[in-house]
Amino acid sequence: MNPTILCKTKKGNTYLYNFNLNQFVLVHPVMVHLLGLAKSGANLADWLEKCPAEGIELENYGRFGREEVAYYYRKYLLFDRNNLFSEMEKGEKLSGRISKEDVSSILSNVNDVVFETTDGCNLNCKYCAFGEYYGNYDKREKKYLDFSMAQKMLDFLLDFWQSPLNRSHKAKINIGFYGGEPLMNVDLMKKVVDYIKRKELRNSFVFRLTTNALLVERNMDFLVENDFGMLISLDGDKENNGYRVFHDGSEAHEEILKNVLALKNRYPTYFERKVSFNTVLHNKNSVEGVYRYFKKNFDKIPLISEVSPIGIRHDKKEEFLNIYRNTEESLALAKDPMALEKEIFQRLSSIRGLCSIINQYSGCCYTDYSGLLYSTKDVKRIPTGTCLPFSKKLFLSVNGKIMPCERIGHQYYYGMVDEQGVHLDAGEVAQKANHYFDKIRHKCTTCYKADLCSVCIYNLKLDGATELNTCPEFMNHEGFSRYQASWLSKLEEHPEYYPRIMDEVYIS
Amino acid sequence: MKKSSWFYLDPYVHIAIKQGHALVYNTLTGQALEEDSPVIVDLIKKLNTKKHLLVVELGEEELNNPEIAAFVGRVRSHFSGDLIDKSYSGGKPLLMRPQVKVQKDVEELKKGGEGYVGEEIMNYLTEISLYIDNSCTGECSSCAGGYRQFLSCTRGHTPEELEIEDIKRFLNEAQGSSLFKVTILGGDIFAYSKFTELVGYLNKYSKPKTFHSHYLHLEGREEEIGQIDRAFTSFSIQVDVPVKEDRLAGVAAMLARLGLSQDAHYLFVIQKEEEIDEVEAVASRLKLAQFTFKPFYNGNNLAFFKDNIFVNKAELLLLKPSLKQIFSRMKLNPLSFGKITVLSNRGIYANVNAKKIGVLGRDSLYDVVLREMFTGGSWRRSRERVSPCKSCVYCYLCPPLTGYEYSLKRNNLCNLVD
Repeated sequence: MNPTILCKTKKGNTYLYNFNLNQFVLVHPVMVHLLGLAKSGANLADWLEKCPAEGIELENYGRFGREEVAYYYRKYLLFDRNNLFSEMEKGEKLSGRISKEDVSSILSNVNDVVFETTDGCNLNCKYCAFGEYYGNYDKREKKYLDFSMAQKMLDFLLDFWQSPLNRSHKAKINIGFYGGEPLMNVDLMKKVVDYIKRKELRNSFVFRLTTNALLVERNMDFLVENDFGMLISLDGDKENNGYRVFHDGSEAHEEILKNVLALKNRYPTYFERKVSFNTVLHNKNSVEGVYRYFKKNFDKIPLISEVSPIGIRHDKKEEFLNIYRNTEESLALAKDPMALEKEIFQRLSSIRGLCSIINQYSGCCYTDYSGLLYSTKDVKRIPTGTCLPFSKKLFLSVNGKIMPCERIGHQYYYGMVDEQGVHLDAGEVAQKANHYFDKIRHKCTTCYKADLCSVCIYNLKLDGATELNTCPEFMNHEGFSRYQASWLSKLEEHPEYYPRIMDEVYIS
Repeated sequence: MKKSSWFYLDPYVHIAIKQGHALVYNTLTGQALEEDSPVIVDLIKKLNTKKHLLVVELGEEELNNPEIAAFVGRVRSHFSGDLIDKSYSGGKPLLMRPQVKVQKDVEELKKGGEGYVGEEIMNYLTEISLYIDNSCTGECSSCAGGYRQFLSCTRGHTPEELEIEDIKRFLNEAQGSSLFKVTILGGDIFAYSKFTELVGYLNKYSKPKTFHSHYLHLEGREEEIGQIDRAFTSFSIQVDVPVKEDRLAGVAAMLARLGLSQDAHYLFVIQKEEEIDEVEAVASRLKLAQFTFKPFYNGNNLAFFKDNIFVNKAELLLLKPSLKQIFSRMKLNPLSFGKITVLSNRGIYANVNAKKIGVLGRDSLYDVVLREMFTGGSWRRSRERVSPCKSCVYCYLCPPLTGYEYSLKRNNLCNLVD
């Protein structure tokens, strides 16, 4: 693969991005010309030898004397000496595999455990991930997760957490509750909290839940007492919230608001510190509308997500497209999109995209001190942007399935909890995961965006096929050049975003 | 119409401006420009701001200013930047100004409390050196101070040794870490009362180990050495000069009999220039496969250090530090980061010249690693924190602080600043 990418922005500036240098360098038109010649196979030394004294004429830029051309040739040679033009091979780098030992190590360091307390919900949201649009989840049967199952899972993990393979000290392990509506099974939450609080570890626990808020008022003392982090799903005002309805189709906004305000009024400090909102964007709200609503009513900026396009049933595609709205497009419709973008900033997917570009390609960003000290050049990694199983999270479904995340199809479980106990074998997890990654690996080795891939393998069609031949994010040289140019154009438009992102944003 | 250009510095350039003095260092060529003129320093300052991000507009008037024109010429000749005619594009280019960002920067994490700093903290532990005892009858002149300058054996007046159970607990706690080297030192490590038990434990310990011993302590220890499992094990053999060559030859022969010649690394402690030739001659005669010099500052050999250790500008540039190295030196001390030393008095140190960060048997390994990360007293002690380096534009081009700076009682082992 060619490690050098030329990209031209909307303003007409040309940059050279190089994978070995990992930086964008501004390039002069003569250098662009030389790079073009080199790419077409010309021997630049011979070419320069024959270059006339009056130099060369470049369309749109004018004439450049031989001396000037020679200068850029010397700069070209400097780049060459610094390996900017050495071929790049991704196959070796993406040949990483997960071992049984890796899985044991990961399990010892799980710092986010999420329980699906129930698959029942007191709302019937149109776009719910377990609703009518999607077909990749277990049948919803209004089940409640039994505490004995949660306890078995925790006991299993406690052994790992207490082992010397755990690398954290005095850190926080997140225990999350998810649904359905998790507060419908608040008894389980109370038992888990009580059980966990009696355990003594080097690390401590913090709790959080994702809720529609309908049962918050009656449970708020418990939630506040245990300092729960609370993410409330709300799409804005009454009209905006039109898809978040009761099972009989009646609107739920008034009832939700009543609960949220009760919490805010009773526990204002907690509300300010621990409560955040998640808004799903669709055809009944807008980025500007929800921003104004939450700012005015709660002095908060919500996280704005789009309706998930993953796992949509074929017969529901049209309906889905009707309600789906893109953040960027919605933002563009605002009165003053630029001002709004600056205000909401990293809560917008477009800015998060820019953050990722800077994080990956500025040559200045490192996750931690190990990344800063040691070279990752020879480190093999797994393909795609998928997290290693359980490295970010362990999710226990109401049916006892042990999964790496709550946002993936229920068919991708790695183990089970049942009456006999926990069935999660590190060797089997590794084998299964490697099997999945092997299906796409070949594709990734020729993808220019492989280092910034956001594809979760569980969202690809893994069933059946031995190897996947398509990937929604695959980029060849030209595609990657256009991709980078679009982000650089945005940065040229807003140069103030670069220092702001570098100074203010934590990029995970 | 007046001609105007974008003048920019390339993002692979490191810029340092201190006390009216500016450095523009090109990480690809290893060349540096030093500028003192207020006009040029101001221009570099402007280029390096968040507002301008390495790109400024230079009009005809500025380009006709001989001082600026000469500077632009110097920048171009170093390939550290360029001029691009404004008319070539429809607007100002954007360069990602080099500014190191560590997402999990401790100073940021500290704002959230200890728990944030403690997350995955054992990833940072890379080396543990254990002084298991302090007994020795030798009279090496580097004994008292050597271990403060580099990894070296040292003896004590009152006998001390670490509890074997404390050692095991400490090393067990490192199992999930990134530890890649455990060094066992003394005193005389073979005089350690639980040597056989310790070797038995270490033979099963999965991380790489180094046994560090004075060469005279190896004499007659064939049996003890034979107990050591060679897998993931190396031997570091300290030799003080003048060398007792016949005895060193005996040790080398014994190691050869045990098949350990290739795993043995000899460290010759030297204190003056002439000893370099002497050591090279000995190493050649004894056919030592691997050896290095360890200069020892004894309080009276500053001239030797000035000649051999101190660096000048040309030497610094020859080292051609990369942008990543410069970044790491801004945030950390890359030479001491991740290293823990336990002395035979049970004191735990991130740097033996700094304050103790714990006591073996009382504090866990987790506690001391977290403590050091939190305070950053040694692992994050960069030249920016010490005088006179913090006033020098070459601050981050210079190799990190070592034990020598403590012993010489000066941070600038160079002739760049007084």
